[in-house]
Amino acid sequence: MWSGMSWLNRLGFVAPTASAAGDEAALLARVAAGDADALGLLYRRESGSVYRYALALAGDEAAALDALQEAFAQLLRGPQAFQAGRGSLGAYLAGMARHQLLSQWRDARRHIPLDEAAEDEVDLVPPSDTRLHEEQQQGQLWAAIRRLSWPQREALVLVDLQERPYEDAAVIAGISVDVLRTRLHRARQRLADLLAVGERR
Amino acid sequence: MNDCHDTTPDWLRPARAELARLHPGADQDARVLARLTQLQRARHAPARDIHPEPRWLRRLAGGGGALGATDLLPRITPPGWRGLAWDMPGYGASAALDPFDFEGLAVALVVLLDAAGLDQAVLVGHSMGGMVALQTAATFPNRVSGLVLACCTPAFGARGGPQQQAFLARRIGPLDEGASMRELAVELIPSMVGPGGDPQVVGDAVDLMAAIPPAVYRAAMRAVVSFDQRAALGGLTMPALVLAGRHDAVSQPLVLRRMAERIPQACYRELDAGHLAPFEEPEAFAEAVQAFLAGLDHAPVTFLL
Repeated sequence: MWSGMSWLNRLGFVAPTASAAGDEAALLARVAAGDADALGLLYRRESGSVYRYALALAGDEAAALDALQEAFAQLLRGPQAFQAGRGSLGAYLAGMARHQLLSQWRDARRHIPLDEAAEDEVDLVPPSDTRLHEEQQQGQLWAAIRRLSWPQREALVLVDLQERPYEDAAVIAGISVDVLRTRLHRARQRLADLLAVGERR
Repeated sequence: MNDCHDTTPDWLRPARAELARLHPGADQDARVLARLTQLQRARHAPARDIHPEPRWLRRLAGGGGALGATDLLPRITPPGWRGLAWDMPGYGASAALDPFDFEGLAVALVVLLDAAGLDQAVLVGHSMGGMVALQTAATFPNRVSGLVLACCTPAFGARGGPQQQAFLARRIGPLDEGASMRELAVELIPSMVGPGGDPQVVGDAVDLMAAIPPAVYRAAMRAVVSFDQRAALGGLTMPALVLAGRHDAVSQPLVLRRMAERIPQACYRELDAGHLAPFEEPEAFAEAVQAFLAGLDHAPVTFLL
């Protein structure tokens, strides 16, 4: 765990279940109508993926939980804002969580540029705690991922670690598929350099 | 599966597997889902079950109830800012919550912010209103751009401990013995002001406390003694002003000073007053709040609790 708990001790995994678009729309309609059971079902279906995305980006459990909660709260406030034609509900929720994380970090560190040109220099994640480095091999890999810039890390998390389709990942990140591919390529290269993977291969 | 998966480097796969195993803990999951369910219910509940509709206020919801200060809101709200307040659920024209707890109060406040079209506000809370502000900041941090915590503490001693028992005995005991809310107010309020307290302030506070429905008052007092947000203080990211009454025997200055020390962006000030400091020293209170608000550069909305 980023905050010091062993990654391997984090059991209780609930696999996210794929949902058909029609089923998704019906479920969302029930949630919007105030059906608590539907909310619970939707939460159990989507929360794990949103949480993992936020956690991998933030490296902080509390921030990830805040982002998760806010993503669903936003959906409750304005379910009509979700447009099925623009991506899955899971992608929409992840996008809401992303917005929340960025908002937190912008508040915490004002005036930090977010443009692509600066991405190699920018790391918006708060300073890492030293406990992460105690996590031996996995810790080294995660520590290297944390050293990636925010845009690169996001691309890597969405595609390589969460196995999301490019199209969904691009929707969440709010960029084109081409830009996503570029960021992903750079992220892999940078990570390989950080881990000296070339020497191992 | 698309082409990207085929090109994911092998040395990244352990991290993928590792991440896939992660999930919020059961307790955390339950807590988040409970808040969301409350939020959903608050948006769909019949009017009698939740704050009926925004009632921008004429009353303050302090620990003793509606301490009311009709002119306090405009006094603390700088030019160009929007000032709002509420009748806390159960007080004034608002329906009570069942159960009556701080989680529910925070949700009710967020629903009210939504109804007003506000993403964020600076929460200005006195006594129990400060606790609601603290709960809201801890539960919905992105909705709170700043905090003014006046005469309130982040916790109320050990659950079921002697401090809680003594507080409940003093605050509720007389009702159990048949006293009216007015009789209780007459007994309690004078001890809440500092030396030389203005009789008018005491009289107004007695009138307002006397108007609180006894059942709501009992529920509020039980909620107060179970309040504990100490663990959240270090994680609050918004600027905060902690205001203590130098002669406050209910929320002691030393406790408020320690609370301020634990909030990363907090400053601390004392007013020459008791627990009813905003009403005993309204000019000094307004000056302190306005000076604090002047240092904030976004969300120019105050919400008085």
